[in-house]
Amino acid sequence: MDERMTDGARLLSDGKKKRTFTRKQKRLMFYVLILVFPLVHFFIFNIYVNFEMINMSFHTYSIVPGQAGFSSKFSWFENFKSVFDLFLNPKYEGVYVDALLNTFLFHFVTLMFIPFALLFSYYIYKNYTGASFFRVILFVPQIVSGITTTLLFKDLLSFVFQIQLSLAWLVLFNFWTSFGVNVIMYTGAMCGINTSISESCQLDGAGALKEFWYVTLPMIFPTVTTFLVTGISAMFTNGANLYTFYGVTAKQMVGVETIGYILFTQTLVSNMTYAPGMTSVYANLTYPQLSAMGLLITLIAVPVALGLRRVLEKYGPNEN
Amino acid sequence: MNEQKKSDFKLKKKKWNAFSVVFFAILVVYAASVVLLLSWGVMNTFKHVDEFSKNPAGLPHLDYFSKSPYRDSQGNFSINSIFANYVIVLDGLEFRKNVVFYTMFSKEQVVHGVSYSGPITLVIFLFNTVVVCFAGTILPAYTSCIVGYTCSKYRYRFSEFVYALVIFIISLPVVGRAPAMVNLLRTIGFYDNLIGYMIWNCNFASMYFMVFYAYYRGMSGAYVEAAEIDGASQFKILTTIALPMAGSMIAASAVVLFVQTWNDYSTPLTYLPTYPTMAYGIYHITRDTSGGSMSKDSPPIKIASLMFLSVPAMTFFVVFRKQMMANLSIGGIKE
Repeated sequence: MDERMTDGARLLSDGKKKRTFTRKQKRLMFYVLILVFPLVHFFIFNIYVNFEMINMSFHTYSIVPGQAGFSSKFSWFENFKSVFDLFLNPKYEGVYVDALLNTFLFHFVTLMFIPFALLFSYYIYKNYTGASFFRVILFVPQIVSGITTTLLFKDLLSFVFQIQLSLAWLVLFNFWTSFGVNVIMYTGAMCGINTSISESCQLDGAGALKEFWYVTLPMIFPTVTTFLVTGISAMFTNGANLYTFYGVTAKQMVGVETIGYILFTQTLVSNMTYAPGMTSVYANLTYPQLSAMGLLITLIAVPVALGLRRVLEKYGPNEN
Repeated sequence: MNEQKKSDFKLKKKKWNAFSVVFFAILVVYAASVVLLLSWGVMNTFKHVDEFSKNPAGLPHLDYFSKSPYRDSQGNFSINSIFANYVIVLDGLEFRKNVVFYTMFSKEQVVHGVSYSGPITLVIFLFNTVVVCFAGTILPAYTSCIVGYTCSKYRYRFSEFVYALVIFIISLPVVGRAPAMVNLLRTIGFYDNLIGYMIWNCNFASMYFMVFYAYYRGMSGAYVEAAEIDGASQFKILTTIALPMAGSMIAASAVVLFVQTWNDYSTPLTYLPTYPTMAYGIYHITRDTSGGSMSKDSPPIKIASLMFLSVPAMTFFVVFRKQMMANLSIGGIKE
């Protein structure tokens, strides 16, 4: 007959001891085993990559024949100077300044539309005429590949209407593709509102717009805040579908670039350093310089995003 | 009586007012633009290239191909079917790519190169797409679910730290980390590597982690306690109780992620340059500007290649429309 011993061991019938674990110990062991891989993964592919981005920004790299890998040199702010040079040096003819302005323009148009997106979402949330049909239609541009909508739009303008793409058309197209996403997201947030609140509001005689302003908007404002805040970094990664339209040649073809487009295309065509035989005619920035640009943008975006969140939480409508 | 009034109230369509009229009109215009654009595209896939140049906006003449069939350059076959453009796309599929890079530890430059042509290319595209979609949907969905369950049900201080850390990291607007990521992946051998891509995508730090965390926080602990009393191990509780209970949420998030991954060409382009997926491969085809009536630069043929990408996605949407359009919000699912 087995005996349970106080030191967590069990005496078996053959005289051997077998270690037993308490429920708490079993839970702890399972907890550790389950989290080891995801946490190691998280630290490598999230935290380490962010630190590596910062590290690369302060180094320059070169390839030494016969030596493995890259030779790195701490270069203080040399990469940052290169980035500022892009915006300030006349030899670049204001290309990067234009890219920054285009970035703000695309984002500004999105921001301008947010009040209307909320009202369109409200229309669908309140199940006005055709709401179910419109909900499906709003999904369609997200289901059909961006490549398809982009190239169909370009061919339609070019062959049917004989119109060349310009900045205005690109802004309109980006607005058209993001329309559905925004409306769907806000509709989703509105559907999380308890229906009894809405019903009691209407039983009290409030009209649709009054209910929207005093009930719906305050209740979904945290969602709106989240989208506005995350939009700060999304602004700088928004390639405006330019790569789909033009590949790496948007500047040559239509004279329009955004910061997001530059970051994406340069990541594709560039490298850690300009090794012999590895340069691309489109590569203007090395990876350390791109990291420096990204870091500068992040240092601006983080306080802006936090400040915006603070302002919206303090002064925006709330449930109370 | 009050219950009857309330349920009637819910079912009644709203009456017209100024707000509904204006927004209905705008939504009709938007819906028309979506339908017309896609219809125009589909219509033109049945047009002969010569017909398209003369009549880009009108309906196709379905007998055009019988009067002017496509012929290949050797005159070996001709296509006079209205599906000629699709046949040409399949027959002319090709993908060629070379990537050259150094890693932090290599003395010589690393060269990866592939070259596919003909219908086998479509098989390659589909295989790569299946792997990438699995890596981009099932793996992150399950990883997020498992970590969300563990952090919510095992209430150690460390769980709260992990939750707060994830919130902090995913809300931090970091820009420009792609070069550092590419360099890391090249160094550890995960760059341009399907197995490495799958491992890399086992990432739980996303919005779905927060959703699953909130879901399991709201789940009663009685299920787990009852299973423990019955002698189930922690692993058995996870696999037979926790994961099945979140099955519909995992499916909903996987369905949404699947469509995003199916349509995404920029991620394989950046991290798997010699493993073309359907989206990446079709995009590569549409960039062909070699010229000539049978080249993929011809709009009807280019648009036909786009249909290979879009029709499966639309079919998937039709089948899983409910799951995709279910309202997903932090704290639970509303169906």
